[in-house]
Amino acid sequence: MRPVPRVALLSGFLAAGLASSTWAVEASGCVACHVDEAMLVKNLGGAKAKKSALQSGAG
Amino acid sequence: MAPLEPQEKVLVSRDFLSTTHGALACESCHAGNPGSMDKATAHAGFVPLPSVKNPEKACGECHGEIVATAKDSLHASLSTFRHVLANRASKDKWAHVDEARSNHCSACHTSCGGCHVSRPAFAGKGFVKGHAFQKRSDPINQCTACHGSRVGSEFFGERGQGDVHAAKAMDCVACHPAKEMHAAGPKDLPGRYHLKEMVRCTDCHKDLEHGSVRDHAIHIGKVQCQVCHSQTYVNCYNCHVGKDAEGTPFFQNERELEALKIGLNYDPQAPGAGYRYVLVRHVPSYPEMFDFYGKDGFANFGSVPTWKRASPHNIQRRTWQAATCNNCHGNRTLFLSRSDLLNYEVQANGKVVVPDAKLPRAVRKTQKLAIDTSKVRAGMVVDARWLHENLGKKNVVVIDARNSDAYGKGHVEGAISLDPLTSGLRTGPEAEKPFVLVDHKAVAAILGRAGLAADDRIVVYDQSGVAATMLLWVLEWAGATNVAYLDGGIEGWHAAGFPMSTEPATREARTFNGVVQPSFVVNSEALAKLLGKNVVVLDARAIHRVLGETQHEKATRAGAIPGSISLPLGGLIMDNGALKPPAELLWMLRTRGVTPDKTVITTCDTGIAAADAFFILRYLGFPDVRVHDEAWVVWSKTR
Repeated sequence: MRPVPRVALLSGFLAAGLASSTWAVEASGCVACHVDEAMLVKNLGGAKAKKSALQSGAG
Repeated sequence: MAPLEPQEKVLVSRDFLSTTHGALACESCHAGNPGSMDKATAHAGFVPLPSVKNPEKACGECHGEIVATAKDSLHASLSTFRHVLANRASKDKWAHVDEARSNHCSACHTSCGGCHVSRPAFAGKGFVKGHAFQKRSDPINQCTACHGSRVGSEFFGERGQGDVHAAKAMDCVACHPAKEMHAAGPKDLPGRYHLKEMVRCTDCHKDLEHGSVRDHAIHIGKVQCQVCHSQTYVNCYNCHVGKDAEGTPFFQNERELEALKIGLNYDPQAPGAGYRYVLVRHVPSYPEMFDFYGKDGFANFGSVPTWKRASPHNIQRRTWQAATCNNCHGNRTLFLSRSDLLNYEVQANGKVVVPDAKLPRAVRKTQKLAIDTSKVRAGMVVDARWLHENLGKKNVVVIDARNSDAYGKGHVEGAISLDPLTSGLRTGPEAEKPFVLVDHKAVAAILGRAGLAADDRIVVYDQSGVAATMLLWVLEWAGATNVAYLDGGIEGWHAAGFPMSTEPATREARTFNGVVQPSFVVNSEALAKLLGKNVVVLDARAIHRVLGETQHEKATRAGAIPGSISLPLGGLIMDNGALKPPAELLWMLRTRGVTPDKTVITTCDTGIAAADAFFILRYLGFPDVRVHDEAWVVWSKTR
């Protein structure tokens, strides 16, 4: 899908009102998965941080 | 900051979708293939942190004016790191020093998203509010997620009393606005204090020299504000860097030491910093720091101080060093001296050390502090030397209150292991009333099985003082009559040069035989009835808890007991388990209205910090101290 230029998109949304403004993202496969916690749990099982276990101390 | 589960990190809130940013197509910032429902295909070419990779494209299209400078801000570029390291490095070794910088130091940099959308990469990433964009950075999940050990802990009172600005519910942006955060850092900026947009105390606190505070008029311009208004802060030593077996870079601080040191201002060229004296913090750099990447990288190590100007985020209006003139004037230990330096850093700090001739002279006529230390129960605290001399004597029992892993790696010879958090002295997290003391009979049985009797001379230590002083409260409640805390804990023991043992020690079971002291504990019902009387409720939690910005996972809501006084435990015990002098502690408590003529009830989230505060107040001679062991977790469920 070709990205819609954001400035133009925002102008359109502002004119059309917030209620109808989410169609672009609602149609996205990204959103379908990333608002679904159960699906994320299924897909991310076993994921772990890349931080070394030897790390100590912070900023 | 509570860790996030993997799915929590990337879970988009439906509320986000109806925001301005939520209206944008995901792929316009993140690329990838939104048409696919297959994970691998959908994420092919995916850009997880768009503002890191290309801030002009990701954010600049709408926020061009901000991005134009923010992309070169100190948060984004960490340019001063490069400047300092380049000064220390010899030119022919710069390649490996720069590789180390890239692998270790640069991990801290962040960009637009790390301050406005998610936790910064260094802090493990993850959306703060379901991908919602926040104009104002979140102090817990963003700012102190990286600036944690020093800034965060000191600001919120996890070390020291916390910062007066935190107590006033001011967040980080209140002092560090966009003007400063988005400012471009010039390429060769010698240090962050040279950024002309850097916040200064006097941006808000104007015209101090003409105000009602006499000492402002005397000291302003000569002394950095923090010299008088900061508390002790952490100093780091010997950061060791490397890569683990999987090739992941790591760094380890060899030692962290809480202290406060005043040095000569070695950098008066910084804007608005013509002071004579500044606070200085020891940074963890040392000549062999980057040896993992190649030897002798820092041929010019002596060119940059390792005691550097500091602005600890633990400001208090009243501090011990400024409580009276001669707490500072003539106080040699407060000012950086040659003896504070390690062998490798003498040259580096030549301009920072305060020679005797430049030490402010003691003031002849000054107001004395009337602090009554005569009631201090001195026998309740022993030092490493006392313990060493009394080890093995009849009835002297030493308890290591750390967890069994720490005990196994090395402990005071003959010390038995008794971790108060895992030994059954309190109810568990799933109990109707979690984390409260079990009945006296059960506690006495546990103590007896450990080989303790109520009239033993029982000395307890740990790493930070938290578990040890909690156990001391349990012991006193259960009827032990002769207990003591090892000042400075295991670190102090080790630093004093006394031997460690890895040989486990046990004692024959005995009958504890103590008389319970019910007045050392108060439940929520009794506490509620006491509110408003001659009682101080001392809340020993961190400030973000007291203000309701965070809550314990077992509490039903955030908040604090009405009328309670906030005094974070860090104000009473230093983070290596060392204690400040009784006079200082008594003075500090007095500034908060916590005085021995009142009944003091200590509280916190789960009773641990409350028990710790109990012990310190008992040691200081307070006659009536009680622990609200039900604490906020139970209070929040029932009141």
